[in-house]
Amino acid sequence: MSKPSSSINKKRAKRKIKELAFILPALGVFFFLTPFINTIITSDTSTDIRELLYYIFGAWALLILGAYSLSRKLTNEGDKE
Amino acid sequence: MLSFNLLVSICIIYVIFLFGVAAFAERQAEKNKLSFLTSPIVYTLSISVYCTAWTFYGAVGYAAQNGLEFLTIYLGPTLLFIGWWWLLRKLVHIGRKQRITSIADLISSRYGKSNSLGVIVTLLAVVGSTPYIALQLQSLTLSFAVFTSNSANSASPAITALFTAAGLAVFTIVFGTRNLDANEQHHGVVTAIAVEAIVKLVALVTVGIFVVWGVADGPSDIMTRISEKLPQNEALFTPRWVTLIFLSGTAIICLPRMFQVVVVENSAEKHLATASWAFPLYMLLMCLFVLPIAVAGLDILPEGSNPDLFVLTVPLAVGQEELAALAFLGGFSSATSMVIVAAIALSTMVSNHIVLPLWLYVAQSRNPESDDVRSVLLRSRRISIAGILGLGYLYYIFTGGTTALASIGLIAFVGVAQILPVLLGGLFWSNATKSGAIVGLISGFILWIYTLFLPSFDGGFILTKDVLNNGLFGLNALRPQALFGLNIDDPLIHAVFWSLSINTISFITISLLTTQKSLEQLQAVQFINVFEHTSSNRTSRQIATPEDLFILSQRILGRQETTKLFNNIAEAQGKKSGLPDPTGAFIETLEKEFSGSVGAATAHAMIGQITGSDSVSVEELIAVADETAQIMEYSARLERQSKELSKTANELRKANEKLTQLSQQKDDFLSQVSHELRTPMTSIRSFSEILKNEETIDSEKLNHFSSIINDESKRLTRLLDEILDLSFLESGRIKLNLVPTTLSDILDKAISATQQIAEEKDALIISEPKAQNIQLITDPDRLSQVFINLITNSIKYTNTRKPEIKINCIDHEHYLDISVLDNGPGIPETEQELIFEKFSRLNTKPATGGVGLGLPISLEIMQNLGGELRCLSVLSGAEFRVNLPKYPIVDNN
Repeated sequence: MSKPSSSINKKRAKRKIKELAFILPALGVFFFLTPFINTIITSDTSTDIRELLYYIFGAWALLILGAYSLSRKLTNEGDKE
Repeated sequence: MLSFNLLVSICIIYVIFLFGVAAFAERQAEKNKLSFLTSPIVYTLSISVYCTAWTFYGAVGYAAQNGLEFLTIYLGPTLLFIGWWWLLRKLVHIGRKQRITSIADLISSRYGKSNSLGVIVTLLAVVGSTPYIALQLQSLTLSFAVFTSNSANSASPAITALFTAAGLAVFTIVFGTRNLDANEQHHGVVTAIAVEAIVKLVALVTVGIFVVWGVADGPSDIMTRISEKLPQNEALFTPRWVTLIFLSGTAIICLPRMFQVVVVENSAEKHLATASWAFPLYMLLMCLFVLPIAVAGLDILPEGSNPDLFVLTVPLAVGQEELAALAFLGGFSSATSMVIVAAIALSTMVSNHIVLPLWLYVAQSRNPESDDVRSVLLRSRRISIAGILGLGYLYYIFTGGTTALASIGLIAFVGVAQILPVLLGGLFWSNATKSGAIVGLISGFILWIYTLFLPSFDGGFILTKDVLNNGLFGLNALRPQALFGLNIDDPLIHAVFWSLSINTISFITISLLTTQKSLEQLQAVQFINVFEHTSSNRTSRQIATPEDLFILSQRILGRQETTKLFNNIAEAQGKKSGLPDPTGAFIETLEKEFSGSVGAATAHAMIGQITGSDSVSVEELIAVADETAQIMEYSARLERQSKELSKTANELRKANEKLTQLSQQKDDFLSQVSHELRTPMTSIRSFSEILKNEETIDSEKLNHFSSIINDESKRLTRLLDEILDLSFLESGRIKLNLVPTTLSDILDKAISATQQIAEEKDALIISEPKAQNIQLITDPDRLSQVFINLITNSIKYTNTRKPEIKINCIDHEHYLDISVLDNGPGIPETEQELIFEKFSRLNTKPATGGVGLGLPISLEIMQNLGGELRCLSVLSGAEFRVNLPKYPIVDNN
């Protein structure tokens, strides 16, 4: 009985990896290509460019980290296909 | 201050070093030592050819003037690379599978290997890249001028740009066109570009670190200065911000040089996975110190200084000449790597899609094998490289070399972005047609030229200032930067809006109005379903001989490569020597190999010319069957299987019912047999006990009891004999005693054997006289047994007062039909088959003393004699018909 459930889990994990590969650029679009980015400026009355810089470079680094952690899993998926 | 001569020397030494790197890489590649050359790190570094002089110099200038907007140029590619699984992977997979050599080749190949599309994309790419190359020349000239502005022997910018362009052309020709690679991969150049990527990163980061800790007092100080000095963006999410991210993301796949390094030079798809994080990381590092350098420049340099040159002028202003020299080298690397890769990519497109088809057209009367294609290709590529750099130089001269670097780069971005709708449509939309692509590209191209490219000369080229201000022919609606009265302040957004929207709309509309040709359909399927679809083998339709193909291949791929390829294919075909057979699969492989050198359209045309046809085979058309057709096929197959299954299930059900019935009969039979055995056994045991125990028994009783024991023993033996007999008959172990005889002998024997039972039931047996003298060869005893069984059954089961049994015979040439007909109640049709089953007795009948083996035994006998026994439906009574061959049938088996 354990075999079918483990195969289902594997399939689910595979699907999750592929969904993550979609979510990463979607997150990128949310970070940089939506009006959300304007809230970083208007939230501060002094409109300091520094906070915006931290935000952009921070989000950028986060996406790179995400891509790094996904890259190996996706490569394995690609090899299997 | 560094002298002009020293700078030139630095450049020459650096170029010689690059020559060395490229030559080393080429030698390693020739020895097949590719492990390092084809590593993901080299691949990622080669992609950083995206960061040109525009990044190295222009980004700082851009930041000084527009604040954070410069980041858009790197955020677009970042989004595309972290989402590599969805677009870049497919692009690279198609590139490798179809042996694509350039973006023009990809578009041409997707839309039915159309060369006209190849030409359009090539022209678009050449014109689009011209401002970009001019940008590099301008940045190099400016950087030279920084060091030589006070020198007496400094050359004019035009001369410097001319020498730079010539030098770059020579380097590119020497290393980019040394030979024709089978798949257009340039290991030498790519490795040199990777080295340059490291140089420019190290240079920019070093200048940045110096600025943060040498000019300012560390990160917090520099951040304060950034906050005070740089332009503040009130809102980042503006149409321009979105447009720039979109354009930069587009550029990473549509710029010819980016397509070259990302797709064509890719040696393994998994390298993309590394590049997905490593390339964004590279760009992040390049951007990290842009703002500090910009703010330092604004701080310490006099007002009016060119911000594009802050990377050089800031170190010079604080007396760091060595650092300035390193920065100069970084800028030189950025510009040269871009120019070299762009020139190689564009020259491949020009030679494959313009020069070679023209040459083929001119040489149409003779076979392509009669001229050396390789030399034509190499010559045309070398001339193209010189021409492309010449165009860049002309653009630089026409624009005066004063425009900001970033704005020149953006003009190029919008130009190549015109390819995007056709490219995406080709990858994801199966109904996109060649006509739609042509109309879309041309309309977008014209609008880009009119609204952005020509206005960039500011009235100095084709469009005068008057046209720019008042519109073509004085028509206000045709003002290049306010087309149809649409007043968008930003000319870039205006151009992007008009060119890409009209491009996309016309591409979709024309595609929907036109139909694809068969080759377009085939290519569409192969592109869109690239991960599922396996290439179909072409049927052998050629009239070409292997020798023709060998000569043609030698001209394109070279003798060594061709020999190797042909040997491998011959070996795969199982031929130990000689040329391979020109099968469909072989010709398809050959066409793909040619595509690697001359592009898909030309390769297709050449193969078509030599094989005498460029039609699509039936197999290929089958491959075109879209998903709906496949689903329909699957559905039909499933339905068929379902019907078969249902039929089988039905048959199984019937068999099961029969088995159940037989099992029931067997149980009944066993019960009957037990009963039959038990009755005589009981009699035998009882009477034998009497004989044993009673010593004074009289002789009359003794005789009576003994005869009962004897009769019962005989009955037992008969029952067991019958079971044994049937078993023998069924297993085929019975030995027939075939002898000449007459039918009358057999029937007389049967009638006399049944005489006693007939008399008991007062039955009348009538045998037809004309059947009497028929001669036959058979086993008389066995055949008599059949008739005895049939007559006995008829008498037993006829419950009328006077049973009447008629025996008729029809004499055919080779066989006899003998029927035994009674005047009883008959046998219901549903039970006519069942009575021949073993152990079966009709349920409706009263017990007759038999065990139900007579008919099965008779049937087995008849089958052994080569005849058959059937029960027929008649109006009254039951009729059994014996079909018997007159002579034994010889079975050859």
